[in-house]
Amino acid sequence: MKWTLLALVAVLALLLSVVLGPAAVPLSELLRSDIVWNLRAPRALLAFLVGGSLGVAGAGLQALVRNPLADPFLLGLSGGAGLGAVLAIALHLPGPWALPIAAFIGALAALGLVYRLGLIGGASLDPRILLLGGVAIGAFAAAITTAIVSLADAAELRNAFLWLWGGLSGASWDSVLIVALYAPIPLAVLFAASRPLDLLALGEESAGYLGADVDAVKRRVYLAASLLTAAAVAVSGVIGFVGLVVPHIARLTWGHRHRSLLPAAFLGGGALLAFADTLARTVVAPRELPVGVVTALIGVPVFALLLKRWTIA
Amino acid sequence: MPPNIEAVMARRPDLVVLYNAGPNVTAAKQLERAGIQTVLIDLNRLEDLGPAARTLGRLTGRQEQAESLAIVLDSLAGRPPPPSTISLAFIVWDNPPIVIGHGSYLDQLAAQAGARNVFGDIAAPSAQVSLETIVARDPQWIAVLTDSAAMPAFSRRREWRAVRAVREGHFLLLPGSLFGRPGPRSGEAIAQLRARLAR
Repeated sequence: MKWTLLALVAVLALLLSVVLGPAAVPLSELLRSDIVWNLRAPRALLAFLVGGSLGVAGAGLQALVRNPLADPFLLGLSGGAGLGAVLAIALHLPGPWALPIAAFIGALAALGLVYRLGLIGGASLDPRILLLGGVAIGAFAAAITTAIVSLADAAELRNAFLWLWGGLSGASWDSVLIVALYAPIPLAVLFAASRPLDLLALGEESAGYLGADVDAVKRRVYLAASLLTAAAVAVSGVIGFVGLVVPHIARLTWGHRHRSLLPAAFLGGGALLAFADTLARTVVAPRELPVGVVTALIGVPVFALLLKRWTIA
Repeated sequence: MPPNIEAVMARRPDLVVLYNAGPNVTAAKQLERAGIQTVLIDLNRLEDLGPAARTLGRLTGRQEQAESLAIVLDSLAGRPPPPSTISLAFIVWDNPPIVIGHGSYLDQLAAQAGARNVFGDIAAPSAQVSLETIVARDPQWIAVLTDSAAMPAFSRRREWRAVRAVREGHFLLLPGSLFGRPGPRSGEAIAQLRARLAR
């Protein structure tokens, strides 16, 4: 029943994304409309894929670092992506894909640095160092970004921050195709790690006794979750909140078993972001709200409600 | 960026002119306290030009010349706009799309040049809109402030090709030095925009 309801919510969120928009498209012309085919449909699918990826990445990272506050963007990726984007603009890199590619490379560089810091104590990845290293690398990258923006003449550099705040305006069939081809690999790695992630909740030592290859699992989960987040930030900037709260909402409803939790976080994250983006495009039309604002406005009351029910139970 | 007060003081200027906004207000107070004559000038719309010219004329002892310039600039701001026959959208940034709305200098410039800003109904100088809205409003021209002669990178992005003016290459590439802010050359900017729209 829970799964049917979640699937229905996901389908409804996608349908609403395609049917509703600031431009008036009659229902009879929905299937023939260029606006629907070239703008709304790819944007709805991209929102779903990005939201789902952030939900799963958040669930994986929260299990890895055993910290409920872990967020995919806490690990320095947003800082790295921002620096990449600003450098792309400052260096006048040509081409329509220069900015997302530079952001992706920036996120990967941050990932590499944080990963290296995480291994500082030896061969085993230390989750506490990952968190601290992520915050430090993120702050360092953000400081360099701010310095470049402050000292550069180019007015468009200031607009790089707008991109970084997140949104799905850049959605196209190209970006949907890229994410659809790329995301299944890290998603599969995370889904395959469901059982060891359950064991990690018991502590690293206990997980090891119960047969989990703890070091390998930690590396795989960190890299897969970070690669998912890096792709998300490259196509949609930093959309906060989804990766933090969706895993908690899913956990309150589906429990702590990652075999159910991860698919629920994917569908829930996808539905939340698709629905939030529809609202962002329509509620103040012709203007548009940053989608991160809407995810927070929807997510917090839902989360509070579930938390209340869970506490009472 | 607020000015570096120490660096300004080291040059011992007779007068410091600052744009009236946020951090500059604090800087102006600090400079005044240090005994340097400082003035904050509002320069956001065409009607700000005349008063700014008069203020600067008074402070530099060239009131007569400033008054002559201010009269010309006031007439520019007070002139009723011609009927608009062409529509355009100013795209400030492409992802997310930021456009120019009502009440901005560029909106005034378009009106004076005989063009209708398709986002003139948005009661903010600039605003984030969805690409779908730009497609639906279907401007004949896309105006971009740029100092480059190259088409903006977003013109090659697939999602932007949904906008008819982008598909047809109807771009107005406006140099930021002339069109970016109100100034004594605003009349020239209007004339140039009108001429380019008439082509």
